[in-house]
Amino acid sequence: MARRLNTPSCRFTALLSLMTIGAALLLAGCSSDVTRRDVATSLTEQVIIPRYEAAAESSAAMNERVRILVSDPTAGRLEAARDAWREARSDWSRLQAYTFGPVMELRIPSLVDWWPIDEDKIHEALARPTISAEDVRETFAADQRGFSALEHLLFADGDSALDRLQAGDDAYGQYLTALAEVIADAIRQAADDWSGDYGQAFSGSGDRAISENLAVADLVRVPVFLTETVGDMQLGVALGITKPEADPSVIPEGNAGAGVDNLEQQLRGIQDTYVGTADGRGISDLVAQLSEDADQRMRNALNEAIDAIEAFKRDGQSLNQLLETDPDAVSEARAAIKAAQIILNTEVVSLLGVTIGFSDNDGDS
Amino acid sequence: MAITTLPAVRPNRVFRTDPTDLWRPVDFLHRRASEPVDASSVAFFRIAFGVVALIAIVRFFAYGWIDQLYVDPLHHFSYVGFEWVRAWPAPWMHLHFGALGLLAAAIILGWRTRASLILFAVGFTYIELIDKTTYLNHYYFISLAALLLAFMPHDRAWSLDARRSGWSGWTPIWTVWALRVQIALVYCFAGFAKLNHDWIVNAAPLRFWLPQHAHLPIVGPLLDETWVAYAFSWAGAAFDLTIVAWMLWGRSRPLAFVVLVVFHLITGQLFMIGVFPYMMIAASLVFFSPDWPRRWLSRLRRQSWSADARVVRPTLSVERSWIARIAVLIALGVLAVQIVVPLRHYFYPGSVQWNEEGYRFSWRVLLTEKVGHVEYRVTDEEGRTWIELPAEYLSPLQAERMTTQPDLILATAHFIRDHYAHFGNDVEVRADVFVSLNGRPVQRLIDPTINLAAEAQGIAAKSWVLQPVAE
Repeated sequence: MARRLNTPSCRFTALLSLMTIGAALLLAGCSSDVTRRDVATSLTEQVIIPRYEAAAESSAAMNERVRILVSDPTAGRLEAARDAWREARSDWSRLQAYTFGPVMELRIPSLVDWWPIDEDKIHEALARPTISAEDVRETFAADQRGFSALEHLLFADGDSALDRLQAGDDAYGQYLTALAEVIADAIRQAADDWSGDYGQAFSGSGDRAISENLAVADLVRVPVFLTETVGDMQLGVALGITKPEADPSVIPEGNAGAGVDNLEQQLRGIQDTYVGTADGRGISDLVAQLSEDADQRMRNALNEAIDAIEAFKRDGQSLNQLLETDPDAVSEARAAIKAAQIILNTEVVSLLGVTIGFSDNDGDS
Repeated sequence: MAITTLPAVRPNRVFRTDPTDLWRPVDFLHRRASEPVDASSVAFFRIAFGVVALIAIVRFFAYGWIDQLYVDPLHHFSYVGFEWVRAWPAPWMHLHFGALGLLAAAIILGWRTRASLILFAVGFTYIELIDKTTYLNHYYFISLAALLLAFMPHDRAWSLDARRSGWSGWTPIWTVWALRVQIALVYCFAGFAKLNHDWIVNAAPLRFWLPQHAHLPIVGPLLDETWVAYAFSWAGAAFDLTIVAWMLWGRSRPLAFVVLVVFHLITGQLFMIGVFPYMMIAASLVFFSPDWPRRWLSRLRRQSWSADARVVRPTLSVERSWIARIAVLIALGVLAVQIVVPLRHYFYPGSVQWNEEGYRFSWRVLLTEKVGHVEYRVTDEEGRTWIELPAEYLSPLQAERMTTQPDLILATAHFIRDHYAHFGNDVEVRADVFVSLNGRPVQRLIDPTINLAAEAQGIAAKSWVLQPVAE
C-alpha cells in the first residue's frame, strides 16, 4: 500500500491536488471583494459611533441650555434652548436607521422618543410639588417623557414657557430639566455602549462578537421597518391612504414643527448605512458586487425620497401644515419613500439573503 | 371476497404461454417484483425513517412551531379541495404532534408497524394540508415515504412484529425498488428543475446565497467568489441528475455514496433545510445491496452473514391472481401520477418560478431566491380607498411566504374581503405586488386593476398574474 502511494504518478497527483487547493485559497485570499465584515466594521467606526457621539453631544448641549434657561429664564435663553432641542432632535432622528443593539436593550425609545404624548398626563405631572430626573425615568409613562414631551413644554403656545419660568413655576422648570437630563443620559449611555463593547461586538471582535450576517441583517432590516413606519403608519395614515379616514395626529410633530426635518434625517440615516462614508464602506458595496443595477436603483430611490422631503423645507411649513395645504406633494413624497422601501425590501433583501421576518423555519424551495 | 387464482408459471415461460395475453407484461412484472431479497435494507430504511420523523416532530415542539404555524394564525391557506382540513384547537394540536412522535417511535421499533405507518402518514399529511405556507419538499417526502412503507411487509426483520410473527428475513424485491424509485424521483426532478437559465447561466440563486457564508473558516472566502457559485450550480445539477445512476451501478456506488454524503452535509450546513439532508443520506442506503445491513452487522460480529439461520431463501411461488395484477397496475398508476404531478407546470402559461403554478409537489429544491412586497387597496361601497397590509391578517411566516405566491395573495385578498363582509361592508380588493426573482429588478406580479375579491380560487391558470418583462 505504502509503495503504491509512493509511485511517481501518485506523487504527481498529490502535488497537483495541493497546488489546486493552494491556488484556490490564494485566489480567495487575494480577492478584492468587500466582505460583510468590512461593511459592518466600517459602518460601525465611520457612521454609527460618530452619529451616536454627535447625538450624545447635542443632547448634552440641549440639557445644558435647558438648565441655563431654568436657572435664569430670558427670551434669548429660551430661543437657545429651543435651537438646542431642534439640533438634538435632528441628531436623534438620524439615528433611527441604526436603532438596534443598546438602544433596544436599554429600551431607550421609551425614554427618548414616544408618540403620541398624553398632554393631560403631562399637565397632571406639573401639579407635583417636585419633579426629578429619577421620577421621569422611573415613574412617568412613556407618553409623559422624551423629546415630544419636552417639545410640548419648551415650545408651549407663544412664550408661555418663559412666562411660567419667570413667574417662578418650579415644577415647570424641574420637569424641563428632568426631561432634558433623562434624554441626554439615555443617549449618552447608548453612545458609550456603541463606542465600547457593543461596537466591538458589531465589528466582529470581543467575546460577544456578532456574526457578520446578523450585523448586515440588522443594517438592512431596521431601514426596512423605518420606511414602512414612515410610509405606511405615519404618512399613509395621515393622508388617509392606509386607513379609510385621514388622521394627521399620527405624525410625531409638535409645536416646534420639526416633522419635515425628522423625515429628512431618518432618510439620511438610511442613506448613511446604505452608501457609507466617502472613504468607507456601506451596504451599497455588497449589493453592487452582486448587481450594479440594483445598487444604482436603490441609490436613486433614496436620493429621490430625500429630494422630495428636502423640497418641503423650502416652503418653511411644518409637516402638519403641508398635510393641509399640499397633501398631493406629501403623497408624492410618500410614494418616493415607498419606492425606496420596495427596492430595499425586495431587491436588496433578496441579493443579500436577509430575512426580514425573523423566521427560524426551515425552507427548501 | 372470492379471489380468482391463476395457475403458477415458471418465469422463463411467461411470454411463451399465450402471445395474445394482454396481461403478460403485468404478470411478468408481478413475478419479477415478487422475487425474495434480504429484508434488512428495507428494515433499516423503516428504522431510519422513524428516527428522522421523530426528530422532525421533536423540532416542532422545540422551536415552538406548533403554536406559531398552526395554533396562532387567524387564517390558514387551505389547499383546493381540502378546505375542510382545519387545525385542532390549542391543546389538541400539541397532542396530535405528541401522538405522531409516539407513532414514529412505534415505526422505529416495528410495533404494529403497518397501523403505525398508516396513522403516521394520515396524521402527518393532515398537518401538511392545514396550511400551504408550511409546505416543504421534505415533508412531502415524509408523507409519501410513510404511505409507501405502510404497504410493505414489516414483519420480516428487525421489528417487534417480526419477533412476534416469526422472522423470515426476506421481503419481495419490489419493496426495495419502490423505495429506490421514490428517491430517484426526488433527485431526478430536482436535477431537471435546475436546468434553467438562472441556475446554469447566472448561477442564481447560489450567487446570492453562498456569500452569506463568507465568514466560515478556510472555505469562507471561496464562497464569496462568483466562480464558486457557478461550480456549485453546475455540480449541483450534475449531482442531482446523475447520482441515481451512480448509486445503481455497483462499481461506482461506494464513491457515489461518499459524494452524496458530502453533498448533503454541505447543503445541510449552508442552508436551513432541517432534516432533509440526513433523511436523504439515510434513505440513499437503500441503493446498496438489500443485504448490506446484515453483512455489516455480521462483519461487526465477526461472523459470516450467511451463517444467520434465519436467512434461508424461500422458494419462489408466485400465483397469477387478479389482486396481484390490480396491485401492479395501481403501482404503475402511482408512479405515473408522481411523474405527471411535478411536470404539471407545463400546462400553465409562463415560468413556473415566476407564477408558481405547479411549483409545489415538484421537487424544486433550493431553486429560487424570490422576495416580494404586497399591499392591498381596499375600496368600499362609498368609493373610499385605503391600503391594507398582509401582516394585519397573517402570522409573520405567512406574511413572509405569501408575498411571492399568487394563490396565497388571492387567498389573503379573500381574507380581507371576508373581514369587511363580516361587518356588512362589500369591498373590492386589489393588490400591488412587487417581486424580485433571482436578483432581477423588482416587477409587478399581479395585475393591479383586477378585483381579487371577485376572483375564484382554484387550480385553473390565473390570468391576472402578469408575465415578467424580459430583461
